Amino acid sequence: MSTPDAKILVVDDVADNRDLLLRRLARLGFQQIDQATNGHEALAAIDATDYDLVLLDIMMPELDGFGVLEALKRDGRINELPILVISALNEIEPVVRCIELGAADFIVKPFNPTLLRARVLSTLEKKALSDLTRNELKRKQLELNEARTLQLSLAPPPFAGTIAGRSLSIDVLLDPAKEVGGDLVDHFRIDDMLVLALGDVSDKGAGAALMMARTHAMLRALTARPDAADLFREPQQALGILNTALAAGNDSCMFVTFLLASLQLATGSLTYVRAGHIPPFHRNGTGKVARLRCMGGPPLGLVEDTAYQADTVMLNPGDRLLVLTDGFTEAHDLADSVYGETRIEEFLADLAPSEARPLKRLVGQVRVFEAGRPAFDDMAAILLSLEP
Amino acid sequence: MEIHDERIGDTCVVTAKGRLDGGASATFADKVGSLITSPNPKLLIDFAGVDFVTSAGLRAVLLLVKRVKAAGGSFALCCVQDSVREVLDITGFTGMLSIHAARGDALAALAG
Repeated sequence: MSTPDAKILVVDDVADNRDLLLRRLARLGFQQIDQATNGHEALAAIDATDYDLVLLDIMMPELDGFGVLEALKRDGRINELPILVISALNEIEPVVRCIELGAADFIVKPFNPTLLRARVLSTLEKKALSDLTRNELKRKQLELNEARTLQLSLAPPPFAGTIAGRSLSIDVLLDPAKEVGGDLVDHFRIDDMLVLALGDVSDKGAGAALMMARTHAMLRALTARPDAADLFREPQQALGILNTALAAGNDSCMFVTFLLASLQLATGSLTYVRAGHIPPFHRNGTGKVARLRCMGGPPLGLVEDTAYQADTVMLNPGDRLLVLTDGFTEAHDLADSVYGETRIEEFLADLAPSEARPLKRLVGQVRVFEAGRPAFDDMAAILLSLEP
Repeated sequence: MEIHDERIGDTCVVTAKGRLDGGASATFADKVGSLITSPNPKLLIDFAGVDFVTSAGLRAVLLLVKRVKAAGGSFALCCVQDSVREVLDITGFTGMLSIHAARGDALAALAG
């Protein structure tokens, strides 16, 4: 905000003082100057107009300068609106109190034109810089919020119903630690298969989010290929293609741990490939939890032309499959211990068949464990339940 | 995270202590990376004091391996704690890195 655009409010109960200040400011080129004769008028004017600077007398009837500063401090506006306190030469204690209340600086009466000019201009310059910073931060926050909305919309909705004669439900969760994150979760149907995908980029924040979106887009692009059914019937094929694309020229060494699984809806046969990801949790009808540990290969993006290995297990009616990212297992409590995998196994073992969408409750348990610590990492999970 | 470096023969030995997580990994990669100056460098990272590694930390290690290899050198890791070893196993990094139980073994491997 440069002269003469700056809006200035002069607050003083003595008309001669106001006139003198108005003339001096006008001589400096300022054209938008308002006046107030006491604290109440000043606060009303500040409510109505977006000032860049207030020159504030301390001793005034009705409401004094302290009262104005206290009011502005209470509602936080003191951080955005610089106040130059006007004081008599012998008033040092009151000036100190004003500065403590948040005033930017002070000038003494009678006004020295050079000092007045220096204080006013430097205060306005500081205000312009902090406005710029604040606006830039606000703009970035808006952009990030928009990116978050877009990223969350990449996660498919949960599902409960019958596909190809099989009754099942799918719960889905995506919760980035910052505005955007590097976890991805997806499920879709191809032919007689249900495909589940869960990935975790090796970092969090905006860079990881771009990698996540890229990986997700490539995965979905594979589903449009004429040979999509073959690629996902043997998910190691689909994963191999993703890996080769991500590994090409990957100087940043960013990688994605991934779990890709396809369920033959008719038989319940589940073929999965684990690319460096946490082994999924498989709960059978009796509540016993086992882990799908077969190593399919390294995380995506690191070793070009990796031949991934698949493994197959049978899922029976009443079985559940939980795949999640390390944002759950590596969440920390105040004593720096981790949430771990045992708690996840217990959660899965104790799940009641009737509970709809239990993943939110699991996140809630992790948040209680963290006891207010900021989220350790992005969280994503998918829970497949075959109805008994 | 504390990082200490020394030279044993023609090998640069880095001893790291603490948690190699998202916050520490960039500094770790930069600091250790700045030690890779000679052609055909030999870099050994001693993980005895590292009790926690995240995927961001693994990525930092990979960046160092890449840098060492690009300079025609060799890289090894030693004295990995069980909890960290488990992370390396689960993520498949065990097969991608030269990992040794003791420092002596690692130095011998780098010398050979």
